[in-house]
Amino acid sequence: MSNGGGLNKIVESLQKNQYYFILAVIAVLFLIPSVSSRYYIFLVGLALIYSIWALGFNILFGYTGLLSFGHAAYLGIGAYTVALLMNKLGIMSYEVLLLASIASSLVISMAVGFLCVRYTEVYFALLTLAFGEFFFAITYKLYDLTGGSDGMSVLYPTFLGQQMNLTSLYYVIVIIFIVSTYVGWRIVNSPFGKTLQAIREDPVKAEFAGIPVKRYQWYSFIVSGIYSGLAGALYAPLFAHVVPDLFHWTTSGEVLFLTLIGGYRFFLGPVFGAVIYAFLRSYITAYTIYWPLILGLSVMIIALGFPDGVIGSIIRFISKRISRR
Amino acid sequence: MLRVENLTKYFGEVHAVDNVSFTLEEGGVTSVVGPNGAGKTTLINLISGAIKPDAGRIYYKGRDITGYPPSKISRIGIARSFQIPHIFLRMTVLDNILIPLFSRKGLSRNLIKRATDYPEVLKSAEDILGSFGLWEKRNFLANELPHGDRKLLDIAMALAMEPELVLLDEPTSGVSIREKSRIMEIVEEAIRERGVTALIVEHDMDIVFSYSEKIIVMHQGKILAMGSGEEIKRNKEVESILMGGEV
Repeated sequence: MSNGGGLNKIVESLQKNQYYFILAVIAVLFLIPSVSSRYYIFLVGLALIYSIWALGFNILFGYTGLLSFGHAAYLGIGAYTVALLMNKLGIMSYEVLLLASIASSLVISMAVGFLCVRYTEVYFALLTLAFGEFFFAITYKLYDLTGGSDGMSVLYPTFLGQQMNLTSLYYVIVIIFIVSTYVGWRIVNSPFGKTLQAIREDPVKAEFAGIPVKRYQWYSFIVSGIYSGLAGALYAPLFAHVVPDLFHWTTSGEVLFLTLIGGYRFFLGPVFGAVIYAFLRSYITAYTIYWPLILGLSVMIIALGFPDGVIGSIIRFISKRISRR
Repeated sequence: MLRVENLTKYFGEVHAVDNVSFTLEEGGVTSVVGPNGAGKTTLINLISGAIKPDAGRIYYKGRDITGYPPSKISRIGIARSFQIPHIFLRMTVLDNILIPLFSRKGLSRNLIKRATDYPEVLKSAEDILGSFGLWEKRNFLANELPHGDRKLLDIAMALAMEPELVLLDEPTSGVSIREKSRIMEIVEEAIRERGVTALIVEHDMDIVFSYSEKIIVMHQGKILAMGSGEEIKRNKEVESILMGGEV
């Protein structure tokens, strides 16, 4: 999203070698189950799920300029769709469960987004928060259907007729992560993506450029919701359990947090943020129960000192060094 | 081409536009002049759909467009620029011009192909940016442009909508005298080359008399006079208002 002298050189260098870099990352992701423990397979899988969720969230936040405080709702809807279909209807096919999660998050984000984009800035944020809490309350109260605060257990489903396990689920997560990232990259560089960025920059001008701003904000909300629902559908079998907290505003705070860590102005910023967040949280919780305090302090430091996030700050630092030469 | 009938807009007790009627024929440049607070920008805002009138109708090519949203008005052929340039600051100059081009060609919803994979759109972008002297700066971020170029980009974006009528709100405000002539020469050429009718709000009377075929003088929300440059120059009432230091 940014430019400049030194930055251009970095971007040029990355562009020249981008295919090697991407292939190396994909190779490492596929090699992880062969070289690491079940714990790290789980942790990397979780980081990739967070990445998919954050990529979707950032289409709305970073690219369209709309801050949703209720994006846990669509993660939760994806996860609960899997849990409900599995527990209530006995559907074990992951292909069906994934498609159902996409469909449910599509429908819900269409309905909620349609109402929310009518409002701007803080009112938009508050309305998304309210809807998130609404889904939390519903899930919490409908004990017979959702298991209330106990939640619901989720088994490993079947995929292409084969019973899944952690490793096969991990490979599905990796493939969906790669596809989601590629699709996301195409979206943000398409006329649609450029239009969203124009709305973020100046909605008034965008309107005078013939763009029905509210409608495109709604489209963005839906795309973002589908990404979140898909992430939820991957989350449920990885954790083997879903609870109403998935809908809670503190979960919505997590996606904002990891997007800010990575850098919302850069396409891959949320991915880096997700990886950092997943590992940081895992390690910090092993040492102290006060991890929310440490995460909170991290947000303060990043917001005040590194508004471009980790990726943005690194790129800017290198850019400055190159420019000085 | 454009017919405005009894257009009225109040802001509280202020009669910003008060029962204004006029007709704009196709072709040429018409300027709207008047002292500060005369209602010139409000008039542009009403025609472009930025605000809704309290009374009166606006007809464009015989079609009642009163109350249409700006996105619809710009798509049916009326584009506008702003007194303070409205451009997409953190996007490149090229992206800025691609946005209205995609919109005009109905491609904004496409999320499969890359924005740079449309050769015909890129050709249009090159044509427009070229005629505004901005093609060489296409990879600059818009916030790296000087003020004069920002004004040009804002107008270029309006013309990228391929309008038949363009509304330009003070296209030379905030730039030096030398820059004013450069901007107006570029804008005039671009407008005439494309056969676009222009309605311009302008404070600089030298520019108004140099570039306009017709002039509308507004005062306190009403039209005080309308006519050619010579007719306006001969109008004593207009002279007393415009030369009274209020412009």
